Amino acid sequence: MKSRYKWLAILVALFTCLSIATNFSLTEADAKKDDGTLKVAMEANYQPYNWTQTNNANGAVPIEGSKEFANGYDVKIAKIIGQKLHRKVEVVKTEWDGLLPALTSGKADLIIAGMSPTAEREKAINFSQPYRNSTFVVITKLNSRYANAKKLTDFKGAKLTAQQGTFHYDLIKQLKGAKRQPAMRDFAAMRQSLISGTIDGYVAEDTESTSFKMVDPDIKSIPVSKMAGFHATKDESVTAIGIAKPNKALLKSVNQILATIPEAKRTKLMTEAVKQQPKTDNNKKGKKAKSEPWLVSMWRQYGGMILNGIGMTLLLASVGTIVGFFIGLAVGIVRTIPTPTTTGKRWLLKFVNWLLSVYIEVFRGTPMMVQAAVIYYGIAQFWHLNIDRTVAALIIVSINTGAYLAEIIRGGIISTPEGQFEAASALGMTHNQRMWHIILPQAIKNCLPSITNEFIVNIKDTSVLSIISVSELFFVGSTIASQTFKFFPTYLTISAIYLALTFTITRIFNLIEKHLQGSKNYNLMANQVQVGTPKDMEANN
Amino acid sequence: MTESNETILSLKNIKKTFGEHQVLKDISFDINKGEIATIIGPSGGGKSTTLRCINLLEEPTAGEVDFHGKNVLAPNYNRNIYRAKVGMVFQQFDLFENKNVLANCMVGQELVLKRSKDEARKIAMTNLKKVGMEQYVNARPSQLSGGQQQRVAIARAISMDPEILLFDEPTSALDPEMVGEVLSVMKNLATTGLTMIIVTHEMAFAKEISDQMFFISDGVITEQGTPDQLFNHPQNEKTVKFLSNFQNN
Ligand SMILES: Nc1ncnc2c1ncn2[C@@H]1O[C@H](COP(=O)(O)OP(=O)(O)OP(=O)(O)O)[C@@H](O)[C@H]1O
Ligand SMILES: [Mg+2]
Repeated sequence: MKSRYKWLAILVALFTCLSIATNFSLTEADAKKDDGTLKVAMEANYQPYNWTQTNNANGAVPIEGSKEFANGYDVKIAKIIGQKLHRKVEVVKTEWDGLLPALTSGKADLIIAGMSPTAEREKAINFSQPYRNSTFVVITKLNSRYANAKKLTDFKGAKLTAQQGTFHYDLIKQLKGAKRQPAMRDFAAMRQSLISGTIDGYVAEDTESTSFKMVDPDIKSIPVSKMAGFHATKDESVTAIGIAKPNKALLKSVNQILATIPEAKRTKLMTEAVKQQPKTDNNKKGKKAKSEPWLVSMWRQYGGMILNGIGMTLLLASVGTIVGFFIGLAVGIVRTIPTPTTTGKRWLLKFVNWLLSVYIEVFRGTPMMVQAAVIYYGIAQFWHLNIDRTVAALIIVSINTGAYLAEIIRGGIISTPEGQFEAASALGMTHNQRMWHIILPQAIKNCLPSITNEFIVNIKDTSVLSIISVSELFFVGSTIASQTFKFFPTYLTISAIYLALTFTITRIFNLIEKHLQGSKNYNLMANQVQVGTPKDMEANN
Repeated sequence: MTESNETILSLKNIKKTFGEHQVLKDISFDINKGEIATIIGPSGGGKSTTLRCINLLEEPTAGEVDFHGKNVLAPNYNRNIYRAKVGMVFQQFDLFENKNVLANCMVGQELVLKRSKDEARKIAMTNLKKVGMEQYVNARPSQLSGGQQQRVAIARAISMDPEILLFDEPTSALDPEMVGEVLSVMKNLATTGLTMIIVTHEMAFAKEISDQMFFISDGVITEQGTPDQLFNHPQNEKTVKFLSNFQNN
C-alpha cells in the first residue's frame, strides 16, 4: 500500500518539475515577443556566412532558445542592420529547408543566411538588395585529375555535387559531361565526401574554398564563373536578405542600411569571418591541442552543448512518454467503455470512438518528422500562433506516443481475464471502481514492457525533431560534426551516449517492473499477529 | 440451517436467451432467509446462468428477481448495493491478481460499503481466520493452491456481510485432495444462518447440507424438494437417470 503512494509521489514530483520547466520556457518565449529584438533566421551552420559557437567571442549574438551563439558574415551584417534599427539581434537557428517557413510564419523577421534571391523563392518572400556578390568555384583535391581544369568540359566524368536545395546544384549541369551526384545536406558533408574520395568535387562559392583551405591546405578551388559558356544570373550570384512579403517598411529600411555599407567594408567583414570561423584540429597543429586526445578537446569545447543536448533528449523522451502514457490511458479507457443502454449515449460513444481511432491511425501512420514540420510550421502559418519550439516538440512527442500507447493499453485492458471484471461486479463495484482498482493496475503492469520500449524508442526517435531545430542530442551531434569535420568520432560518441541512455533506462524500468511484481515469497503470519510492516514480519520469522 | 418462513429472494418466470438459443425457459423459485438451497443437473442445463441471473452478471430476458419483495430489475433499483448483499463464489476463484490476500478481502468493503480501513481490516482478518487463511494475508493469489484461493474467495465474499451467498461449483476446479477443505468451510458457514444457493456436483455434500434442492435441466426446474424427496423418491425420469449416472461414476 505504502509503496504505491510512494510511486505516485515520485510521479507527481516529476510532473511538477516538468511543468515548471515548460512554464519557464513558455514565459521566456512570451517575454521575447514584444521587445525590440530583430530575429534573424539562419542555419548557423554555413561557414563563413554563419556558424554556431559556445561563447560570445568576436561579437557573436545569442541563438534563441539555447545557450549558444552565432557568428559569421551574416551575423556581422545583421548586427549593422540591428544597430541602425535600434533592435537587438537574435538568431533563430533553423535548418535550410525551414528558413522560408520560419519567415512566412513570423518566427523570424529576416533571413540572412547566404541565400540567393531565386525566382522561385521570390514567389514566397521579398529580397533586399544584395549584401554580397560571389564567384563560383569547383572545389577539388590538389592531387585530383580535375585540379587543372581550364574549361567547363574539362570536368567530364567528374563526380560533382552541391548543397541540397541550392541552385549550385543546378550549375553542375553546365559542366558538360560531369556526373552529378545526389545533393548533400551541408558543406560539412561535402568536405567529408571529398576527403574520403566519394566525390571528385563540389560546386560552391569562393568563400567556401577560402575557409576550407584554412583547415585543409590540400584542396584546390577552380573558379568557373569566368569560364567560357558559364552562365549564372545575377539572382544566383548574389546573396540577399529575405523579408516577409507584407513587411514593406522593413524591406525599405534594410535596403537603405545596406546602401551605407561600402564594398570595401563588406570584403573586410568577410575576411574577418573567414578568420574567426571555428577551426578544426588541423589548424591548431603545433599548439597545445596536439598533445590532447581528440575526445578531451571536443569535450572541452562542446561538453556544455552535449550535456544540454542530453538534457533536451531526456526531457523530450520522458515528458513524451509520461504525457503520452496518460493520453494513451485516457484513450484506452474510453475505447473500452461498455456500450451504454440509451441510444443517445451509444451514438455519442460511437462518434468519440471514431474520432479516437482517426487520431490513432493518423499519428501511427505518419512519420513523426512530418508531424513535427506540419504542426510547428502549420500552426504558425495558419493560426499565427508562435509556439516555442521546445513546447512544440514536447507536444508532438506526447501526442505521437499517446497514439501508440492507446492501443497497447487497450490491449492490456481487453486481455485482463473476464473473471476479474465479474468478481469485482459481484462485490458491487461500479464501472469506475472496477477499472481503477482492479483492471487498470493489472493492465498497466502487463503493458509495462511495451511502455519501456516506447520510452527507448522516444530517446532515439526524438532525433527527428531536429527538423524543427530542437537542439536535442542528434542536432547537437550534427552541429559538432559539421564544425569539426570529425564525422566518424563525433557520431560514434553520440551513439555511445544514446546507448548509455537507453541501457540505463532499460535497467531502471526493469527495477520498477520487479518492484510491481512483488516479492516471490510471502511471509507466513503467526496466528495472533495483526497485519504489520515487513519489518515486523521479519522479526516474527 | 436456521430456516425461517420469510422469503428473501424469489425468481419469477425467469427467461434467458443468448441470440437464438433459449437457455432458461421458465425458472421460478423462492428462497427463505437462512435456507441452504442446492441446484443440481446435467451440464449445459442452465445452472450457472440461473445463478448469474440472480446477481445480474447476466440480464434476464424476461421475468422478475425479487429481493425482499422488490424487483431488482426495475430501472431505478440500485444494483450495486444489491450486488454487495448477494455475494458470489466462482468456480475459478477469480481473486484479484493485483492484490494480496488481505487486500482482496478489504477492497470491496472499502469501496462499496465505505468502511474505514481499520474496520475493513478487522472484518477481513476475522473472516480469514474463519476459513483458516489468516496466516497468508501477505500472499498473492498466484502463490496459493486452488483450495486456499477458494477459501480466500469465500472470506472475500462474506466480508461484505452478504444476505445471500451464491456458489457456482466451488470445488469443480480443485484437485480432489483440496475439495474437503472447501466443503468443510461451507458447512461451517451454513451453521451461521447465512442464506446460501449452491450449484454443485458433490451429491453427498448436497444431500447433507440442503434444506431444498432444485434439479435444472434444459432451462427448466424439473424437480424440487428436500434432499430426501430428490434422492430417495425422485418423480421425474431425468432426475432418476441423472442420479443413477452419478452413482455409477
Ligand atoms: N454468454 C453466453 N453466450 C451464449 N451461450 C451461453 C452463454 N453462457 C451460457 N451459454 C449457454 O447456455 C447453456 C447453459 O449454460 P450454463 O453455463 O448455465 O450451464 P450449466 O448448467 O452451468 O452447465 P455446467 O454444469 O457445465 O456448468 C449452455 O448451452 C451454454 O452454452
Ligand atoms: Mg456451470
